[in-house]
Order: sequence, then structure tokens, then C-alpha cells
Amino acid sequence: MKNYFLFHTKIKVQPNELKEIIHENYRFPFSFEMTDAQEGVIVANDSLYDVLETLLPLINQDFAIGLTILVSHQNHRLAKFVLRYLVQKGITTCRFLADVLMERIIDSDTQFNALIIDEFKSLPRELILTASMFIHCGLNAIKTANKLYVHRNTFNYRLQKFIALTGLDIRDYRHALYFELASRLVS
Amino acid sequence: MANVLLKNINKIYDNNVQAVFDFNLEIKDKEFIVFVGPSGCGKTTTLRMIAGLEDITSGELYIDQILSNDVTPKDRDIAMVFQSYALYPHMSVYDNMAFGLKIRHLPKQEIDERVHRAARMLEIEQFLNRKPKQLSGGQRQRVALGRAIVRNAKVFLMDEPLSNLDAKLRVQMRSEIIKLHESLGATTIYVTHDQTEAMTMATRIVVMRGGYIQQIGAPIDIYNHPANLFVASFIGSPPMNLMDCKVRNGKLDFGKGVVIPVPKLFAKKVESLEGKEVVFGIRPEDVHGGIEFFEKEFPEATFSAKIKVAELLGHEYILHSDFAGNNLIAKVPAQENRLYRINDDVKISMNLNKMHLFDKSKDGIAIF
Repeated sequence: MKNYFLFHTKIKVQPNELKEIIHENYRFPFSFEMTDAQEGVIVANDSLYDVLETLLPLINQDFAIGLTILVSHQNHRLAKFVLRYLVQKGITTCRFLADVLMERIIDSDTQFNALIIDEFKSLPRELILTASMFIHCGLNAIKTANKLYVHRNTFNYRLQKFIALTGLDIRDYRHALYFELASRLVS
Repeated sequence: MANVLLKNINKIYDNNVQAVFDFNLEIKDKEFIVFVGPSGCGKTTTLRMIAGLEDITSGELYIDQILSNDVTPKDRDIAMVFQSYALYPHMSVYDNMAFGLKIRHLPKQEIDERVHRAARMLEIEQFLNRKPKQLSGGQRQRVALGRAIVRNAKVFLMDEPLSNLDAKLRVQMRSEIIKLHESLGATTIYVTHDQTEAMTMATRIVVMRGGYIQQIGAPIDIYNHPANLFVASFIGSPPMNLMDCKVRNGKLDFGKGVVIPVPKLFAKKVESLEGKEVVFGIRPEDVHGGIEFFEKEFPEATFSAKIKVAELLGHEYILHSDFAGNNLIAKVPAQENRLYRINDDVKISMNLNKMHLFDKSKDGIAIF
């Protein structure tokens, strides 16, 4: 599953240096792009998270670059905003968007709500309903199709469309968590 | 190598929490400085400010006479070792040690020389081809040290590097680090909450509490002359016996009819404290069990007590008894023909020449 690893370094780094560090430690394909001397995005499989979890303390120890990483389903305004929030808080770890948002919501922090709601504003209602029902049916496709009174193929079509439009593969725990938080805010 | 100077350093986080208050310290070249204190006392924050991993809110940091507040961490020429001895899991020990240098594009031969020199020093040459998972905890920690050594840094920063190791290995690694410091001669700043580590490793100790420096000094000075109640209770294991009392007629009145005299040595200092509430302190090793010399020398500080707890440590006993309603801990040598048991009656005497007195009204500052 594709994820966007938005990153920020406390100090300016050479793009090649950071890319080389990741390359030496991660054997799967990834794309690496720096938007300026301190920020950029890596697009990779979610297995990069496991590698980064181990690597981050080492990278910060060896190269003292103070790396902060946010894993998101999209490289959108909300993700950039949350990354900035982590940087301001001085957090130099790798965090999932859903985890950060859940903490913020528990703390009654509403600063991200508008951007979360925005993301689903233009999405067809039946896709939101389908995705919601899928989660509530414990990711059981047959049960979800029955509950929605639609054919299994229709359900599959809608789910694929939802994933394509939002980048959220809700069969994954963290994507499902993000969508659940978002759908509660939207409703 | 280098000296480090911290002048009026303060650290205030974004949420307005001040972690470090007016920190002043001059660390000389080749010194082994230990920051010690309980959790949240600001020792790691101070270390991270020296490393450049935290911004300094105010104050000046000099490394080798160069103002380094705004110098980027990688340009400070500092090597760090942290509590978690994380290693690149799929790389061999050699590659783990060489990786930082390789990314910095150092010549291959130089990398090889540095890695082998560090491995020789740490006696891990035979493990260079192994992967981290094939190493024990102690060996991994050596590799973590090796990764710092190969950088040839001016200053070594160590943040509780031994706290992930078991007790036996910790003692072994402690002496390894001391030997390493001797052979490298690098200025080292070491953070720990373990006062035993501080006492055994440091050339000077900085005791911290609540973001403030409580005392700076050589281990023996801090142990024998604690600046205040906090230092007295924090340094030493078991901790110093501390008991409230009042100065009355030049003597110490503990209430319940327990009064002990003050030796001539301190009489002058106690004169000015007449009527004041003070805290009496005595180290457990200065409280003796059944030693005639002290019984004769300090008859008024000799009393019969019932043992509440007797802990046998092999070469000595830690005895807990009651003194004027306070728990009194004594360290007495273990002898084969003398076993101590709970509820045994024992004659306890205190060597009052080693007593301490703290001023209760002035935040527990030491009087002597």
C-alpha cells in the first residue's frame, strides 16, 4: 500500500545524503523528493515505516539532522499542516497521521478539524456510506453488501472508487482509523 | 580534544515549561563530567543543548572557545551514545561502525583504519562480521560506543548508555567506559540517574534537581560535604540518615527525651543556631553496631535498639533500627560469629565527628 512519508529536518541537508541513508537501509523501491533544503516527501510501501522506526534514532544520532516524519495517505494540506505541528512540538519521530489526529481529538484540539472535513466535502455520499458500513461490518465485504442492499460487485466497485479518490485503503488499520475519525467529524 | 563552557544557560519549551535554569559550568579538556539527578531534573535537556538537538533559549555555549549556540549539530564535532543501543539491523558490526563515515564520503582506507582501531580498543574485532542480532546486549553497547569512537569527535556525550543492561553487565561496562576514557582522553559528558555510576566514573559530578544545579564537585567532596539536604539524600547508598531536631543548650534535641551532644569540632557553629529547627544527618557507615571505641567516644550517642530489618550483603549488614521515632540505618561489617536477626537487641553508636547539620529554614542548606 502506497504511503507518503512527509519529512522535515531540523538542519539543512544534502538531498543525496538523506536519500543514500534510506537507500542503504530499505531494499524496496521508493521515490524521494525534496521540496526545499529541509523538507520533502518519500513515496513508498508502508513497510518503510518499520524500517524508519528503527532507523530514526540512529540517523538522528549519526547525522544529527533532527528528522521528523509524518506518514499520510496523501501529500495534502492537512498532512503538511500536521507535519508542521509535529516540528513545532519538537517531535523527532515517525508518526502516522491517524495517530496524531486521534491524540489531538482526545485532547479536544480542533485545529485540524476543518481540513479533515474539507477532504471529504466533494466525495459522493454513497462512497462515504459504503466505506463507513464496511468498517462497521468488520471489513466483511459480503455482510457490507447485504446491509447496503447492493450486489457484491457494486460494493467492490464503490470501495475501489473510494480508495482511488481518497488514497485511503481502509482495509489497513491506520487508514480505517483516519477515515473513522474523519467520518465522525463530517457527520 | 576540547573544553566546554556553559554560561547562564536557560531552556524554556514552547509550552512555557522551563527545564533548565541559569546553568553555569566549565568543563576542562579530558574531563569526565557526570550529570546526575532524578527524572525530569534537566540533565538530558542540558546534554541535548550541548549536542545541538535542543535550542538554547538564553545563555552561551562555547565548545573550544567557539560560541556554538547556532552551530549545527553535525558541525559541533560531538559524538553521542544514547540509552537505546540501536544498531542498523541488517548491517554487520563493521558496516554499522563505518556507515556514518561512508555517508560522509571518507576514503575507504581511512574508514577501515578507524573501524579497526575502535574495534581493537573495544575488543570486538572478532565480531566485525556479525550482525547485531548475533550479539549480546553488552556487545551491542560496545558497537554503539564504537560508532561514536570512529568519528574522532572532540566531545563525547553519553545519555544513560548503560541503563538497558543488566546489573552485572552494567558494572563491567562501567569500568570499560572508564578505561576507554583514559585511552581516548576525550572530554566526556555523561548523564545518569544512578548515583553509583556518577560516583565511580566522574572526575566531577554535577548534581541537578528541578532544572537547577545543586552542587558541582569531585565525587568524594560531594559525598563528604553535600551542599544541601537533597544532595545528602541523593548521593550515597543506602542514603544518609536524616532526622529533624532542635538546637537546645548547644545540644541536639530529637524530642521524646532523646538529646545528643555536639562534638567540640562543631560546637562553635552550633552556638549561633540556638533554638533553631535543623536536620541532623549521618551516613550509615558512621553508625556502628557494638564497637567499643565509638561507645566510649560518644557515650551519649550510644543506645540499645531493636533490629527492625537486617539485610546481609555478604561482607556487611544493613541494619534498620529506631532512633527517636526515626528509621536509623547502620552499615556494619558481617562477621561469621555474629549474626543479626530481626528483634535482636544491638548496641548502636554514632560517630558524631562525621555528623552533618542542615538548616531547615534555608531550603536545607548545609551548615556543616
